Amino acid sequence: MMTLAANVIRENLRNRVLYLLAGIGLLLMFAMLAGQGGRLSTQDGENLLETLDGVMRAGFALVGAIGSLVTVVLTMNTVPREYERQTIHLVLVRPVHRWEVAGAFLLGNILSAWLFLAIMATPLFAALSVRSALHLVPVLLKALPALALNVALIAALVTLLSSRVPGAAAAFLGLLLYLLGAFSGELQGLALASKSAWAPVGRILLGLVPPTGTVSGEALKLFTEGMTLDWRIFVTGLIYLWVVVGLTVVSIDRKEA
Amino acid sequence: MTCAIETIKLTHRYARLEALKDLDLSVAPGECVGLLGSNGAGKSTTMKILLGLLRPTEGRAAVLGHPAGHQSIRGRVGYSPETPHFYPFLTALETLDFFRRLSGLTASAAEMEGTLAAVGLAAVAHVRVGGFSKGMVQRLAVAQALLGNPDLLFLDEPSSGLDPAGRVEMRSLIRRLKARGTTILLSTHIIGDVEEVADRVVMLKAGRLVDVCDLQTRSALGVTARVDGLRPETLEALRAMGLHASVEGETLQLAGLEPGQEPAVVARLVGDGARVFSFTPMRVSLEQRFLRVMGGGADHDDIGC
Repeated sequence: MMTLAANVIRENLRNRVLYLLAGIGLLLMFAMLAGQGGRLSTQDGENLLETLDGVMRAGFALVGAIGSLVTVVLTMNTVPREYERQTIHLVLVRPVHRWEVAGAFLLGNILSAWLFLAIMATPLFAALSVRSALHLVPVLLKALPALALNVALIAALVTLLSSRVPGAAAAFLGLLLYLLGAFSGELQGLALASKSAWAPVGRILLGLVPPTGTVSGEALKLFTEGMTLDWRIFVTGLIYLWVVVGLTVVSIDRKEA
Repeated sequence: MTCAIETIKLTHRYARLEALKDLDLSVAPGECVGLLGSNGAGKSTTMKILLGLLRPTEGRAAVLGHPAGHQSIRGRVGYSPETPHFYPFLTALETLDFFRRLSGLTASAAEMEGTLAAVGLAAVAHVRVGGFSKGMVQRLAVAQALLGNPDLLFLDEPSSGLDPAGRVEMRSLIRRLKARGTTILLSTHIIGDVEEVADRVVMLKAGRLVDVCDLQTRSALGVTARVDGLRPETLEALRAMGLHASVEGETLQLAGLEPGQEPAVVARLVGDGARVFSFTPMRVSLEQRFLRVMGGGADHDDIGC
């Protein structure tokens, strides 16, 4: 499985579009976060980048958004490419279990996404350095696994979708789910407060949305002193990831070469 | 004796298209069987089912005594696909190493270089596959299939994209593998290749088996003889032997001879007082037979192994 996963990573890292996206994302983040004079206004006209807390919130959202976009581009073609050019045939005829093949695709995609996430997160450290807040580096290091979980969720979802639909459609659905996921907390709140007859259906459908918004929101609490984390949110994210991994294994196992 | 390959009523449908219908096929261990047929005849589909890449819609397929695609036999099977594609960023040697690792083999670099040499790629072992010609990719496909000295080889168009010298080398390689006892299922459009290396040829047409030709025991299917003093009762006796006989002047044309029947025919002619000046067996080429079969005829031979 590691042999195949390593190959997936090697192939992913050769995607030039990723470097372009990552480069643009890095420039954008450095400009906004690392510079002292950046401005990111809230609805109330307040500059989010004036306070460290605001910088971290904006940075997290940006790293999450650009990291997710990069992850979608990174993972959308891994499975379709293997089947279209039939390189998968020479893998499947060997004494390798299909769950190992599925696992290798997932592992390769998730590790590649994490690598890019690590690169995308460098402006956050730069921002802490510029604002003389290096004491927050350990806090940032504690919070980043939440983004890693989110990116893994997106990578796994797109890998699963791309095992059934063309890469472009998988990317579109992945982005849609990411956007819904970013507002999953708000949407769940709305669904719970709603008295509509459709509210139960809405709650069930929201269960299909990756809980990326609530996971990153919870991680941000680390930057506010005295706040306690609700670990159930991270456990929910891990369960979601586990379910998607399981579905991917079943999907690839049943997929005809 | 367990067949290396055995299919019973094997059928596969892609949506509404019936790619394979009721294929009964047996291949004995050590045998080299050629699969012949036009495009879309079902050759690649047959191979993919036997390799476990496709699931049959109906029927059964067994490979090396196990259900097709069974985990336990995958390490004993090699496959060279019709349109191979490799990771362009790997060198030929790295490609073999990648497949070696997937197969759980412990071949050394020297052994892998030996495999590359066997297919004529020794000089480009450290060149990236992305720069390979179609013929070189085809050779690499065969090389990866040879890893671990498999008992059974599935070669789907192995000569595709090869130049004439390459085709000769490929035939020579297949003969060497046969001599080593490797069972080979060879799919090709090149009738001359299959005629030279296969023991038996199975012809498929629109997913159905339409002919099986045993190339080992195939003899003269026709004879042209110059005979003087041929009597009508001799002609009748030859026809009674199951032969199609016709005479024009001194030329006697015989068709439908069984393997090894020629001496008996000559003995009958001479015994009846005819003088035989020449007796020339005329082989019907595999190509002629293929064209006849694909043109609409359908002979069904017994295909037990």
